[in-house]
Amino acid sequence: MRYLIFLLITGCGLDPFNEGPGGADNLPTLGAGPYARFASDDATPADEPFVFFDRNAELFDPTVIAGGPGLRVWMSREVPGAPDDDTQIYYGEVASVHDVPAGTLSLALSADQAWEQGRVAAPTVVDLGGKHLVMFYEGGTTARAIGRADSTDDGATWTKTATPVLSGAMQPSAAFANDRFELYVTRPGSPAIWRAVGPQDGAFTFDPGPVLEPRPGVAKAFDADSLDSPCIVVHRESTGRLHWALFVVGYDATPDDAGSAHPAIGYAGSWDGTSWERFGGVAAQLGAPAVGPAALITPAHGLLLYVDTKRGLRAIAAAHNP
Amino acid sequence: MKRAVIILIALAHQAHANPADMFGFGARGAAMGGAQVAAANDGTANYYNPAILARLDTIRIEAGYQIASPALKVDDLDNAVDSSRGSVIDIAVPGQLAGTRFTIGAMIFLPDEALTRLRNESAQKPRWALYDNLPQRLVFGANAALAITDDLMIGGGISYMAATKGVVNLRGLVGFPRPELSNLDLAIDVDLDTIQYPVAGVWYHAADWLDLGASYRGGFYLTIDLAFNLKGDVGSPGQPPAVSNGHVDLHTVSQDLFQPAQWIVGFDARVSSRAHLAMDLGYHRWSTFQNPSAHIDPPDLDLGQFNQFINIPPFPPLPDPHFHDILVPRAGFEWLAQDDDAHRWFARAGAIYEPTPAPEQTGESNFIDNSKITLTAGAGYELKHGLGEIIPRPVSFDLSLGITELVPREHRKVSPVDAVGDYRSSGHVLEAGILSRWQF
Repeated sequence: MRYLIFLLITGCGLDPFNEGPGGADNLPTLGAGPYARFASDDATPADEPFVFFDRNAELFDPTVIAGGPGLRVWMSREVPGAPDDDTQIYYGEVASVHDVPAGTLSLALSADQAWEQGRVAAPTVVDLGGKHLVMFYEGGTTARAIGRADSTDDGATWTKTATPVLSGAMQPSAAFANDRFELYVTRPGSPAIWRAVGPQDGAFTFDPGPVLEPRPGVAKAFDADSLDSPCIVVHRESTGRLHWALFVVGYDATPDDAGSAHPAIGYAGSWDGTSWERFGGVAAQLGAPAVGPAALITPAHGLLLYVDTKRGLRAIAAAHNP
Repeated sequence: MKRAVIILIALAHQAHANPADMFGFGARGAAMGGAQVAAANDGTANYYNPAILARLDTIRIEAGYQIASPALKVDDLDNAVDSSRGSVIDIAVPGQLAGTRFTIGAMIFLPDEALTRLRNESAQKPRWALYDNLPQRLVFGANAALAITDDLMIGGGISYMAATKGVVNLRGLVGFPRPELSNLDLAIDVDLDTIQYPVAGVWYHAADWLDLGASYRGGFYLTIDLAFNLKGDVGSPGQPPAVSNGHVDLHTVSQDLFQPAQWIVGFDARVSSRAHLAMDLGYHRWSTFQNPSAHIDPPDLDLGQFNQFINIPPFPPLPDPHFHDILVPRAGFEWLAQDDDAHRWFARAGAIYEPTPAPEQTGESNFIDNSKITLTAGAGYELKHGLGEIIPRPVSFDLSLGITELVPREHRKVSPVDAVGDYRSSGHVLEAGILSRWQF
């Protein structure tokens, strides 16, 4: 009987090396993780895992929505060596992570308000439908705050709200849920992620406490020291209820020039935006070094843009789940 | 290494319940919704109720083909679940034993895609628990039936399946840091041991217009016991190895091809001179279904200087799937549409309601299944005098068509960090079959 099954399989003309589909297509995912960096593929024009690279500038803090040729990405751009107040927001499109971007990056938003102190960065874009996009962004250098800009022509032009919608906050990530905006941000001097809620038009109010805090007492926690760079994704499940997915960068030690910290990207989920649960225990879902997450979750796939270094410059790279 | 893993996956990849349970056996039975425990009248009784074999007074050989094509969806996206198709063959040979009518028979469903599929998956990975592997296996049974009286028959037999135990051995050089430079010799050593489960039935001619039947099909599951042994050096060809005589031994055990024990009772009523109405009620003991996911033992490994970088946590216990027993009603109708000196035409229809044995998948596991409503129809054509002098006894040709609609259901997860999240399952299965029936 030994070898029989193998002989039977091959005798039927079946290829034992062929997995075949067998019900594994389009399996659902919440995009929790773990994520794997796209491997370099010589057969594609892209330089995986990198999606956006500018040989003359640093690219960081991406935000992504589906559309255009495939992916629409806004990001911070800063010329190396320039003062911190030179950061502006640029826009690019790419069909997929295996393609090269369509055209060059274009300036989407520059600093022209007094409170911005010459600096706009860390965009987050919400698509309200009907070509109405809302961008929240970080402005200021000495007094950082969150500003808002609206586009009613699908991102071609933007109109800013004159004053910040939220002061004392940085690195915004926005979602529109339950007829209100939610901003997930970091705050000066706090190692945690905070949420602020606001109406469609108006100012935001912080929740009394943070939504996610570092875990200093947890052994081997990837986020034992601090958290930053939140990315919120709220989507409606097929069962009709909303789900909140929060990607954050965790540091296992205080970031310093010596590189003693290992920034990695983790994940937490919630059914109501208030009660959160971490995924994966102490482990990150995209290992270090990875910062600046921007997630795009479709029914069967999770795409995570993040920031890594290429030729000494920060660039936008991509990872996938599953 | 990659090649070896693929082999392991392929060997451990495919397996199913029972295609006859799901789609019927033979075109007549399938067209009548599978309500055949009292109504079978040919060699397909090998599957439906072996006692009926004792009713047959001629040698029967039947051959046909069945196909079931699923379109099963999660969140309205097709999961590309494989079709099930294969040949149906049965035989019944009547005779006498101590002056009593005695019949022996055999049946086989021979799938033409895979004799059997075995699949090891993680507990979390969504899979269609009943359609994934169950319809993809060989079904073989041998039966005998005895007429106790002219009105009372009993029968029984054994059906066969195989348990799998195998080892994948790899020896040679594992390329590091460039795995494409690996040079490994492969050896696969697999045992296939038979396992059996019983079938039994009783049939009673209660009245001129009424037959009663009952049958039992034993349950079983297939154990897949696979090991993966890698032994050799790690490094680059022509260079001193980074690891000499390293090894990784992995052992996994899982279950597949679960078939629940089934008790079926039914009747066949001749409601007019031209019409039969048959109904079955089956009790399927799904509560004994075990988590089929692979349990992986802690690997035994020695990779020298790399040992410190390897920390494999213990494998957590597999969650109980919490399936429950179900009652499956079936109804079938056969109408003699035309009957003349040479020909007979039959029209058939049937219906099945099969509640799902699977609970809503709120936790880690994702054994997807829905309640099912099946509607069937078919036709039969009989040449009363066969094919002349060569085969003077009746020859029949049957066709069946069916559609199974999966009642959409939702699965709402308790944990907000479930890797899969909520989902909605739905779909349908199209079924068709043909059968030629020959008497000698």
